[in-house]
Amino acid sequence: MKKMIAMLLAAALLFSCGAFAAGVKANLGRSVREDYQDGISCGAVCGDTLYLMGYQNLYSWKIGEADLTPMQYQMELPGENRYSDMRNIFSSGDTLYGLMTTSYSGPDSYALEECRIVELIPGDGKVEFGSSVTVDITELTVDYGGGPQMVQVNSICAQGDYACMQVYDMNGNASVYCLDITTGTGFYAEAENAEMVTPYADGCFLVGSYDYGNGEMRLQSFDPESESLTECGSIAMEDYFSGLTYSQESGRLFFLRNGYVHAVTDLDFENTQPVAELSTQYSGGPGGLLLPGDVYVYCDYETVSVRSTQPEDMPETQIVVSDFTYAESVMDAYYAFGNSHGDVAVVISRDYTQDSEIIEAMMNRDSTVDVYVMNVNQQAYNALFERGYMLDLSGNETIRTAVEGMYPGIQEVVTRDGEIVAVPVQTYGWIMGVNPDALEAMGLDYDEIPGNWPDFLDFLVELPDMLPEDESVRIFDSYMIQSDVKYSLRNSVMEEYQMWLNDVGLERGYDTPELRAMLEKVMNMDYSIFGLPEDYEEDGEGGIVWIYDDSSYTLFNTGVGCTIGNFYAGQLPLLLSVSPEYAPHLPMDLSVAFVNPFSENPELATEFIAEMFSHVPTAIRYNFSDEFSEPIRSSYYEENMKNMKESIAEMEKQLETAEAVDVPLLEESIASMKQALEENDKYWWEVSPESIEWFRSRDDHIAVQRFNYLYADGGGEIWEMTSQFMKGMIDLDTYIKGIDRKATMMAMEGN
Amino acid sequence: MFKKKKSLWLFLVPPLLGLMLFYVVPFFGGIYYSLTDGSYKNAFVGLENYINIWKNEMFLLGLKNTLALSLICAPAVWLLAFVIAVLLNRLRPKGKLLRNSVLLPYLMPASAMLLVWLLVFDYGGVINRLIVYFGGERISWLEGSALRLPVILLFIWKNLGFAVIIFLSALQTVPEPLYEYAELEGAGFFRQAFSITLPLVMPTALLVIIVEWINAFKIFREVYFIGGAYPDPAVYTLQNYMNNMYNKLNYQNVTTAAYSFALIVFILFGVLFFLQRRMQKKLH
Repeated sequence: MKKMIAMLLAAALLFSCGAFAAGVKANLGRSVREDYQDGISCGAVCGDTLYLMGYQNLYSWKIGEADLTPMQYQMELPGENRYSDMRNIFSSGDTLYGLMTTSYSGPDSYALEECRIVELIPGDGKVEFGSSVTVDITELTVDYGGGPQMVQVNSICAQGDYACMQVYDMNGNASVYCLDITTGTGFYAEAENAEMVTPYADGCFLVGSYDYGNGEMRLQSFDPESESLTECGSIAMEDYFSGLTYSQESGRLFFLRNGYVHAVTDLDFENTQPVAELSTQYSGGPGGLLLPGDVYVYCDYETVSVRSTQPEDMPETQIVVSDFTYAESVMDAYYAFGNSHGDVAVVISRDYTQDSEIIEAMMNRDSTVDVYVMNVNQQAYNALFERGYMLDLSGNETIRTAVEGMYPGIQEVVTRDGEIVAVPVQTYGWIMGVNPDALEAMGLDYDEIPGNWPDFLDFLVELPDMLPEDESVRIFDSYMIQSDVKYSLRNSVMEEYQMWLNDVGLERGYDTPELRAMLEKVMNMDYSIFGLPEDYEEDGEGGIVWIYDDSSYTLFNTGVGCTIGNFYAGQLPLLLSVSPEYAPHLPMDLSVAFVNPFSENPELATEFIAEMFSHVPTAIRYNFSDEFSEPIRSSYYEENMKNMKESIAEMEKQLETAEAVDVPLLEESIASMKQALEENDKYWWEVSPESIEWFRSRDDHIAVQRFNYLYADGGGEIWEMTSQFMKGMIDLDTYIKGIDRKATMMAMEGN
Repeated sequence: MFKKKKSLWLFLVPPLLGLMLFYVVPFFGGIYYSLTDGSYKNAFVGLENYINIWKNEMFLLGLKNTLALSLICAPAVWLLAFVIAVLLNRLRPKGKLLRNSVLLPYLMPASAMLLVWLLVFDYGGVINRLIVYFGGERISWLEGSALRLPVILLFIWKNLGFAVIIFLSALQTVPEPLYEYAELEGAGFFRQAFSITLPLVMPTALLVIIVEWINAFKIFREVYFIGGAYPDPAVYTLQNYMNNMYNKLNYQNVTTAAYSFALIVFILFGVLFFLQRRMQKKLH
């Protein structure tokens, strides 16, 4: 019978899912994310329908539907300065409930006033509110100083007359609260570190608690009638563990672990069985739910994935993607690829975290992983690239076209002997930055700042005398201390030097006049001239007093984004070379994807990479080639500008009829709103015109940051020497000769 | 008789298979890899790797240091072990505690031992305090070429006990009357040790020197733990080179270096065996 239901379900999914034609293993994708600002806070299954509570909408979904259906509902207006909110839903039997709170929010205070369990009556595209029960909130409020508020409620679920939820107390301790939904009264179960709760057999709930010491999820059965907990055993958590849910229908317990949905029958933990592949970016969110026929639904904050739990439905073909960059495009491609390739299971693995593991896997000609996603500055990438342990991707037209149009500096790290072996998927870059407003206040121009480190360090020393008398500009951030600046300058100098060294050849080493000149200036500079404290101020409780002073402009920021898409508003990066004779570099921290040459599914893996590249955000792709030139507004821009303009119009309208006493306040508010409007117009860019102009005019300086063997000395000698040097324990000559010795040895050793 | 032969094979086949699988095949497999370019495509390049590696300055430096360290460490352990064993043998039947305790450093976990060693040779450690006490100046034992001394001492300290035990077991086979007669003839301790004991335990002595030499060739952990992948050139060993090449996925250079070194070891041990045979012939 179960098999028949599963087959029917599989058939239903296979034939009816338009947008996710992948059938039983289809993902419902990121439907909720269509409205960018929404996300999933809670979910419940009622009958054959899945209900998801978004931060803005309630959604419903049934097997076979292509997308989530938004359901309209009208929250009550409880009165002046009061508002109602519904964040949690749950079901018991055939009834859907919502946990609705009413709070007072005055100008000086905030207070949770009421919490009710409200029956939700789903209709055609809308939800009506039915009867309600008032909840005794005595034990469900916390006050962090801003007034009493509702505890954070997670994993709420119900059966019979009881609802159970995971909550955090004032001290952040996780626990389970049990609520009688007929009376609104409740009590805490004595379950420590409880993280998950799901309805279980015989009217009980199954509570999952982290046992970090043993790396296990401890399971206890909680009986709300007797308020007792019974041990049920424990499951190894491995990499990540989530989505615990129990099927009353089949007696199977499901959970998500390491890219697979696992099933356990009758809590026999010795025999857990992977029944479907399912990867997730977040282990938080509503977690696991079950639709009739044991169809497993996993929801994180922004994704809903649906899987059959019949092992025979699991696709035979599988590709494993090892990713520890957490690039956005990896998960986007995962969902899209899963939806378009129903016969292929994609597993996102986070297992291969060490360079040595990857090198060993290649040595063993291991085919476990099909696609690797990693940073090009990793030792493993360098080794694999040098020895050609990457599949030629040139045959894929999408990839070839994309890579051929990229900047030469990027092509260089993904092309080997004319073959395209990797595809960029993510990039960042940080360097010293300058605030143009601060420069203007000082009467300086961006081009007046020296373009090389030795001159820039001399310029820094002269700056305190050039500061405006009104103290509207300071040189470095107020929260920094003198040694912070010294360390930052040293790091920036070394980074630029390393990039220069990559150009001229490692054999030039570190014992050069260029490096000596720069480090000498960094070490001999008097940092007290910048008006920064010598040390952090302690707060008397073992902490540090952080000083944030936004009354003046900060001229230099020691780390600002220099790639398009991570430009800081109001900051322009500074390109500084090692000496006036040489060109500076635009550092690029690049993550790429490539196919394991031993992969058993090379075509599919290549296709997955092409899919991944198509999901690389446009703002990031701007950095790879000059094919894009249009600025992109922030996704919040349109709506926020509209709201602000409406507010200004409203206030101007009020101004016309306002009494004389209210006029100054209104005028001040309007002026302030208009200033904010101007600032938003200036800064609310995802890709600003200035960043494009700045980047494009310097794109010939792009230098992808490669692996630096100097930091792979194993014994940490370089770190130790650097630390000693910065503390003045060893002199410049000893330091430079020390690191130069290593560099020389590395160069002599060869690749 | 035939049945017996059959049963013999039954016992022989499993170890032979193991030997084939874990020694013979990898040995020849390694030779094959040393003749390829080490890329994913594994193209055959003949002796190119051997030619390149023998031109590589770091390989030669590693080889030179490994041979130098082994030439100091192995004879030092051998000599000290022999003398200590003879002395301990003289204490018999007393001195049981001493005989057992010499093995302790050999049984200690390497990491714990290294930590102790780091403390002893630290800039402010016991050794430097003694030097200062006697009017000398502190030395950075764990940096630069000075690291060679702690590495050698550590090796001796760790391996001495095992060599002493082997020597002790051999010494028990030497007839006691020989020493009594030598004493009557007026032979002292060293005369007895090197004119009576040593010739009679020559096969064991050869075994000890071979074992210690092999151990000395493998000095790496100590160097890596203190000096990292790129220690001072004075202590950069062949294992450093091979380890670094492994991390670069350059296994053709790892195997080439290993076989080049193995060849040298075979030649050295060949000479040793030849010398031992000649010495034994002389004695007989």
